[in-house]
Amino acid sequence: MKLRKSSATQGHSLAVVGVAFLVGGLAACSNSVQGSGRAPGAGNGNNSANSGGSGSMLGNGTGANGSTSPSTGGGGTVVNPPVSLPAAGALGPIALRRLTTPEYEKTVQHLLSVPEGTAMTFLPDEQSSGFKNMAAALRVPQAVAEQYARAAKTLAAGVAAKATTLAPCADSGAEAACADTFIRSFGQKAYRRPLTTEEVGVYAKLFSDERARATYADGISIIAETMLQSPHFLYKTEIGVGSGVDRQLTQYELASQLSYLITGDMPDDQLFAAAGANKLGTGAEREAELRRLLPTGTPWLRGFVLDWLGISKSVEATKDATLFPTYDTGLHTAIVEESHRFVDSIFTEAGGSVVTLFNANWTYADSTMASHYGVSGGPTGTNWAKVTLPGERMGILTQPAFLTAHSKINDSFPITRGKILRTRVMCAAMPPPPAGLKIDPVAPPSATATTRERITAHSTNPVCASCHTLIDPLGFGLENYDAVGAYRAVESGKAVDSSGEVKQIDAEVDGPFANGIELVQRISGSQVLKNCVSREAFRWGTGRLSLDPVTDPASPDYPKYLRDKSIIDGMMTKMVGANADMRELLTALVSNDAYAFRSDK
Amino acid sequence: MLSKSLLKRRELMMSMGAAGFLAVPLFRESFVEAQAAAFPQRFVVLFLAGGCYFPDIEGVDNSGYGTWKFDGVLSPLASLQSESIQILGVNNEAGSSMAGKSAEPHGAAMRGLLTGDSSVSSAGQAKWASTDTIDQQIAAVIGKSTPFESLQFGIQSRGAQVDQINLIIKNAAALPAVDQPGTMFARLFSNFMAPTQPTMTATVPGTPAPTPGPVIDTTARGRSMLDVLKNEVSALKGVAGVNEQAKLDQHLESLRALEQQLGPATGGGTGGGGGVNVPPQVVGVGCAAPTVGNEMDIPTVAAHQFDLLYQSLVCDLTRVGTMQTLCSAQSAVGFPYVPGVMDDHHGLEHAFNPQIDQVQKFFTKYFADFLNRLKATPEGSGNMLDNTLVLVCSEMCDASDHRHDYVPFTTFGRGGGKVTPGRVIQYPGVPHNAALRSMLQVFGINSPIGDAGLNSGSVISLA
Repeated sequence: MKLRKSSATQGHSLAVVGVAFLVGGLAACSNSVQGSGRAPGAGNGNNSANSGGSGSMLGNGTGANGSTSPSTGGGGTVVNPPVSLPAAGALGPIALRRLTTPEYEKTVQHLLSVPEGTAMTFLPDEQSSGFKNMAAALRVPQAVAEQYARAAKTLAAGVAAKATTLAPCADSGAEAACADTFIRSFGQKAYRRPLTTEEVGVYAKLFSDERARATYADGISIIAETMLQSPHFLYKTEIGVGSGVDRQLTQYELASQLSYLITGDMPDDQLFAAAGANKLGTGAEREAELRRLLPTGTPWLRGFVLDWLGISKSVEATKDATLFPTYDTGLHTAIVEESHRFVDSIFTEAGGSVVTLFNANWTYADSTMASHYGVSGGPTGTNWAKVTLPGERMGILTQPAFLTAHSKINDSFPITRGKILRTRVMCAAMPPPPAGLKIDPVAPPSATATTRERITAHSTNPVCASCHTLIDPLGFGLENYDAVGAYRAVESGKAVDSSGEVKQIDAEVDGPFANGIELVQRISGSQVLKNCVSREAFRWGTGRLSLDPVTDPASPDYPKYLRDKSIIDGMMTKMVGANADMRELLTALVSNDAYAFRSDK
Repeated sequence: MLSKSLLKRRELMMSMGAAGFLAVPLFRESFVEAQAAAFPQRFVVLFLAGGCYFPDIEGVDNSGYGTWKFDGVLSPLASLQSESIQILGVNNEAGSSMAGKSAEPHGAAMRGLLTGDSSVSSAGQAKWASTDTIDQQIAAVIGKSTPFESLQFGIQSRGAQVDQINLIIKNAAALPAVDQPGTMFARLFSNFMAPTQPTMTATVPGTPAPTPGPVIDTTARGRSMLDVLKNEVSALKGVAGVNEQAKLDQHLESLRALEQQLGPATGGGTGGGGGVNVPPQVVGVGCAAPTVGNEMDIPTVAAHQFDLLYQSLVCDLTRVGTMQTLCSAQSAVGFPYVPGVMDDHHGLEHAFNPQIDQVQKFFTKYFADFLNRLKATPEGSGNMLDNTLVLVCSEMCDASDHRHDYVPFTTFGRGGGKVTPGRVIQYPGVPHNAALRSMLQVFGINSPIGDAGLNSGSVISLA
């Protein structure tokens, strides 16, 4: 019998590379992992900012969950009716948020004054919905437990070596008391809260048992080694006290939430002191602490921007060396470095403006990047300096880091770029793939056909077009930039056509554009973008998905949707009122009364 | 000699036709008993992401023997054909996402492959697999007496979404593979918990024997720590709400796995839970810790990962291992190390493009080296492959259509004398759960797997 690829001729072959994966992914995610089982956030309204109405964040999505279908939706805008918020609001259910590897690394450096590198060989954090800090995906399977055990063993050896300074004990008869002091002091930092009496007792016994077997230093180190594997160290707890929606986070839980949110690190002494003095209970108190930490939080906020826009993938972007001989290690490294410096400068020089992020006519470049941009007379060598971009560039969407992250190894691939523009930059949903979809490939790059021609030929089938008309014309807008982000006016001997159209997202942004600059201008000043960054900041800041639009008041998800919508709208409103400063998304989040509450399921 | 006796048996069987085939289980009892006393039964999955066809089958006779040969993707394994069973007609129905079903197709196919659990509920909604994958079910039976109940190796195995595209699942949670040889080496040979390592000898002239573990007995220390940690996680479960119970259950299980690595509790130890009853470890003659690092070069990574998988088995650090090459729907992974391949993995999957076969063949060459190494490692009168059942598989046959019927399923080895290789069996038109059950039976597990509705097919014995 012969089995070889007979399906190639079966039925009608349709073409939607990537889209089926994307759309199915949305369905699987919202149905099976993140979205289910959360309790209604009913309670007494504490944040009514901008609830409902046009332009609110969760109102402009299309299609995903019972709202307007893109296939029918003229402008695609969904205006939710004015809502009465649930009576009270917990930010969400109880959560245990495992430290990400960067958080772990920063924390052990802070805790034990060790150099960077403890987590160098850790497994990569699992990504979910574009972020690597989603609580549901951060677990402790065996291999992760082992890496914590290995790291703790190494770190504890350092503690043992310094036991006489970390836990001095001149009187050998007082070792238990000395250990008790260490348990309380080190424990408070490792657990990020004071230990309970019972916990102190457990560790006292652990010390004495080990002391009976080995040395005093071994007894001290077993305390550290255990605490460094403790769930109270590895998880940022959001449990609180009380029951139902009235569970109120403890002051120390709030201190950790704030600290990791803005710095990715454990609380500093001042934040611990604020928790100890019960000074984190009000929104104003939390906001003040967050503002104090904002200047040191810039690198951490950069991580949000890069993950939100999928630019973090540029680190791993490989390209075909034959087609793109300039894309060597030096250029690759410089492309990544530029994105870091540019995003940092948005916070340090441009007031954190999301608008400037998208429409800046400048960037930071060294000689490698200046050459890549075609900027003459720019920086020399590895001296990084602010440069004005050539006229064909504007903002982060036209930067090589974004463009290399969202293309294939040998192809600019507008389908991928259109997908990210639609779903992550403008937070618009996609319709599900047609049943029985069969997929044809896009033709490979050729010397005679442009990328646009190949993609267009691939997507002409009407069934395919139901998705592709929503994303391909967006991606075409970036066709002047190839797979390594270099500008091109001509491809395969033909002038590049970078015209396109934004479709079925919102009347504010929908419409044709002549080139990438017009596309960027259409997006950069829009409310759609501000709504989208607000939703993404909520997800990144809380480590969970916000609920997609729910329009049925009878749905058990409806009150939870209203809760998320209320909080996100409040974040967006505050940002808009502060010249689009993305940092205000976080000040609004932490100052919301809901931030201090969780529900029990 | 084992191999001779099996060869003779096979020749005998072929000459006897179907009647002889039925007589096989009785024939091999003495071998099973002889082998079981000394050497462990093992199970290995070698996974190729992205689909391919195995092989073109020609002229199979009624007894399952014929003139078929490995070609294409499996051609590097041609010399091992007599050690294999080609399972035809395997329909990964559990992984199907088409016909109006709403599950993401790549993730559904990977989850369904080894769980037999559909990613679509009876109501047509996407759902997460609730069945342990076949390797985990087998590990629960044969993996309790080794430091690692099972090990998950990977080569570029990371997908875009951990919550959607996974191969190995236990207790409804993914067990992601470890892609870094350096990290896997540390897991296997750094001796972070156990007081002693298996006795290791250098088998390659000129290479030093691995450094033995520390002399001091850390068992009591490790057990003390784990007692505290388990109690803490358990206590946290009591207050952490329903949403986080599964997360903490998995954490607890991981701590118990660390405890297993400590070996049995000794008299006077502080272990509250007692230790597992670990028999003396069986250390093969080839056991030697390799030298590896966290290389970026994929051919080097692949060589190290297969070396480590082999060593983990021959040193009896585990008896169940998986090697996941790539992950379905990876858009970011290209193949500069495979000459002539220009596209990324997801692009190749959808390309009707023979280039994906070149990628798969790149990996099956490593499969062949690994299997030949097992075969060349003596165990008693036989070899390691005789005591191992290896499944080579992919989640689809043709990823361009997300096609889940006729997925490649080929076994190698004799499963400790419970498998008769060198033949073809067929499962036409039934869900592949039956094929999974064929393999479970090799390890004494005679229960359905995955969705109850997908267990209708009759199970063909591999014996």
